Amino acid sequence: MTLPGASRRDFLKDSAAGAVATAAVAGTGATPLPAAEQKPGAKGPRAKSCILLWMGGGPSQKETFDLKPDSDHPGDFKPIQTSVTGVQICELLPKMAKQMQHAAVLRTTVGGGDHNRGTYFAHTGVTLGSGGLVYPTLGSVVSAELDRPGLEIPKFVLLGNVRYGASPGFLGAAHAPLIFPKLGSVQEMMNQKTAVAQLAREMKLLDSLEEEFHQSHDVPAVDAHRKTVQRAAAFMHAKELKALDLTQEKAATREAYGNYAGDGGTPGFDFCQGCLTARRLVEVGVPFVEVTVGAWDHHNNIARNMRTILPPLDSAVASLVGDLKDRGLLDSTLIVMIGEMGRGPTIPPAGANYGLGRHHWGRVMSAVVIGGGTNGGQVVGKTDKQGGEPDDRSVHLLDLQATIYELMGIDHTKDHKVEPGGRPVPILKRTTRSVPDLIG
Amino acid sequence: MRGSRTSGRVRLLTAALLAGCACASTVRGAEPASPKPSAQELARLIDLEIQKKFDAAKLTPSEQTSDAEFLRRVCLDLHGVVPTADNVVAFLEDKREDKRAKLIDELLADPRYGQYQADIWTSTLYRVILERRYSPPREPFTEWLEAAFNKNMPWDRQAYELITASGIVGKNGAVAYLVHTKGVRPLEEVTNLTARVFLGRADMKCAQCHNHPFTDFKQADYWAMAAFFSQVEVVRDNTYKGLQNGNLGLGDRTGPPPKRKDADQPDGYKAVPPRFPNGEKPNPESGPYRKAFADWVTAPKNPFFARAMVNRTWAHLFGRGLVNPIDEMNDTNAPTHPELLTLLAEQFVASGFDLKHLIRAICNSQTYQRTSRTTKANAADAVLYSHMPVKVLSPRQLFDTLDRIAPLPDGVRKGGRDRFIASFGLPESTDGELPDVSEYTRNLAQQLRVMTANPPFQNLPANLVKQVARPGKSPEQVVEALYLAVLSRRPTQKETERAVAFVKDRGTAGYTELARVLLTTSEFALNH
Repeated sequence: MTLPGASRRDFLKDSAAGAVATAAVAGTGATPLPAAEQKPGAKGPRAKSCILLWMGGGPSQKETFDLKPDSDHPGDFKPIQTSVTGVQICELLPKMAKQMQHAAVLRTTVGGGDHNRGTYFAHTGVTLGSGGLVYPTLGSVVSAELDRPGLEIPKFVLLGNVRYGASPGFLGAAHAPLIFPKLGSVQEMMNQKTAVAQLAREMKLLDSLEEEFHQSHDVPAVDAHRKTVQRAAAFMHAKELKALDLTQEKAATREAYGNYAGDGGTPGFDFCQGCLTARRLVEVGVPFVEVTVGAWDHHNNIARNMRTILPPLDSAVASLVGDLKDRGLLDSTLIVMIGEMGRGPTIPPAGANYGLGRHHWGRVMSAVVIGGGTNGGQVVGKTDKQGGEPDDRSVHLLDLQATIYELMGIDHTKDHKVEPGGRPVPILKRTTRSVPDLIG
Repeated sequence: MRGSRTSGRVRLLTAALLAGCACASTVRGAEPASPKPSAQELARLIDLEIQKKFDAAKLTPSEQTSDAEFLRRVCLDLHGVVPTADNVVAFLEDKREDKRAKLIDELLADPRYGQYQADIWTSTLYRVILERRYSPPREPFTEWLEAAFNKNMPWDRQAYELITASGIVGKNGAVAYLVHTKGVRPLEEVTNLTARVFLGRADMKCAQCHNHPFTDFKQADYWAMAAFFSQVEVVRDNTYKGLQNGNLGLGDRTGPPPKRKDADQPDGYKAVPPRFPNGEKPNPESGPYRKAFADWVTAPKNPFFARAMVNRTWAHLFGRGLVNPIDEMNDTNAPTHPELLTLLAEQFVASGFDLKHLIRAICNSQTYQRTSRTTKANAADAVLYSHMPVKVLSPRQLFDTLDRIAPLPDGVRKGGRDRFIASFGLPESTDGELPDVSEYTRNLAQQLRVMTANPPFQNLPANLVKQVARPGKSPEQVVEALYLAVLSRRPTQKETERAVAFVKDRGTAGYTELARVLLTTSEFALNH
């Protein structure tokens, strides 16, 4: 594990001088990416950050981005025109409809599956259980592959909760995300950190008391603990933590993003305020932020559920895209909206367990890609009349992952080296290629 | 038999079983003087085997532990918690020559031993696969295990009872191993878990979908083994009024499994009758299958069962198994000390699968009581035990230790423990395999949890200081009390001087910071 940013001695020097940066985060523009950090992809990196908006549960394509009014079960909603001629999306997404010139809608995304394995596959590109390993999620790979010297918080921040396993896997604790399962947990953490001077004093004492033990126990675990402690101390006063403080945003901005924290069984991170937080984290240079909303598993009452979830989603994503555009960050921030699967083209009659909803559907789903240097204003792929099968070319989840890596300058054709033994494990299956419509 | 993929190896195994050889390996360890050696004798034999490898590698091992080091280690290993400051002082001042052996005996006899084992084994065997509301209650399962470990139920009997458990969970906790409300735990899950934990053969799960590339275990063999669980059915007793889902249980059908409802079976599908991994049929062929399988697993002649538990027990105490990873005891993964593994496995069987005897023997060995301090010459050794491997405090050890240092109120402890352990949550793997205790996996967020004032231990440093910084005590005395409570030892002269200088004139605030720093040390975070 390497200590990101300043060494401990530098940290103590800074804190002893009392210099803790308080520059306002909003609107100061992005931190330039030094050339030395870029690991060239095929076309060079365009996206400095990726915001993965994880639609857990499997959002229905026919109620969001692939309306089929002429199908047998079109559902309750009508398609509306968008800012792109010929592209229509659900009427409950009017704000996003005005920004479709920035978006590519991938209507024939395939490779999804049921909650466990679908979520795992969408995040890792590997079938759950195979290889005898736990594979790392997208954010952890980005954390491992990209350098961000000067960043004092983890490179991968997770706002919310991804059920069914999306973890750093064999990349280990160093690339685990900084997780905030609830909005309140951010505030909790901010309130509890130790004061700077006190922390410096304690770290100095720690060093002197630990000396003898470190010298006499020359083993990896001791070294790992020491580094983790240093990281934790550095983190407590990291300049980037300001990004998590939403009180620094105008009330009007916070309201524009909206609120939605319903997350199936347990309320989670407010997705809308999470999008605002993600924008702020991108502004301080965090390369990967995942914001989750897990409430898409609409086996029942899909119309009613969509009326609850789509308006706040619309506000949040539209505000996020608008804000990034205003700050000149849209071209360098890749936004990906995706879930683990689609939902059935039919709405079965109300029955004993489920009624008026759509069930799991792995054959096709919709994904939306915005910014990050991708080509917007297009639809990629067309589904059949019922909206359940690809009618022409499909885009595989792996291709989408390759696109993310390529845009961020990560060479996904190379291998991880997994300890023990340095077992080579490809970042992505060898044959995977980015989606040409997005990148070309 | 490396490279032999045909039934040649199966024949060898069968022959070995029929000939009465207790192990798949033919290397033999040192012969004990008596057929049933005492724990002390077995400890000496362990040391002999370990020494042989030192000699071969020309490796000089580190010294033995100090008393304080030994006490802390053995308490963490057998009870999952550090000793109290009083325990430490009493042990250091104990003048008996055999105090270490006596301590081991006391720890094994204490009910906390069973509690800690049950805790660990609940994690291993009982997994919440679905949400809690679909799962059988965990408490009866843990209680069953605790009782079994504390009365030192022979391990073969424990395994037998778990595999064949019937009745409802509310009345027989062992049943929770195999059941949840959606039905019996999926066949392949139970098979994989049983093979991994009781046979040390995690590789068998690969054969669920394809023939294993290196070992002899084929897909047909896998499903023939899984078939031993095919008679199990869920029963319910709705007269039971108690824990939620406690009315859920297991019974066994007679005869072959019922025909599947969906007639739509893929081509090439065929039902496989139950067969043991060595190819033999159960007798009688119509079952009861679980009993037949449990008999086979726990037979003294079973080549896997004893070795698997010996290896697992060794790994618990040393942070690594004689075979590593501990559940991959197949042909392609050789033990570091084959003779020692064979010796211990034979002795485990001969003792009647007496687990406390095995643990007692290992803990009394010089190998176990070696310090974890490295020397320049042996620091690079990670497999020969020239110095005790360092283990990381598990989340439950951490919680129980913090709770012992400054006890939480009862109400707070109850829910707090589960939440705390869950917050150190490890990535969910596909079949509940726990990570290596020798591998440091604590991440930033988890470390912050310990370092910042997070519930439920937000007041711990202050509460500890309140306990020990009594009026009239000198700074040296308070510093010593803090060291005894947190690090389970007395401070050195230099440490006392540094600490006293730190707290100088700062009163309680100074002591509180010192306490927090001690809690942040590697020495505290690790079991060394």
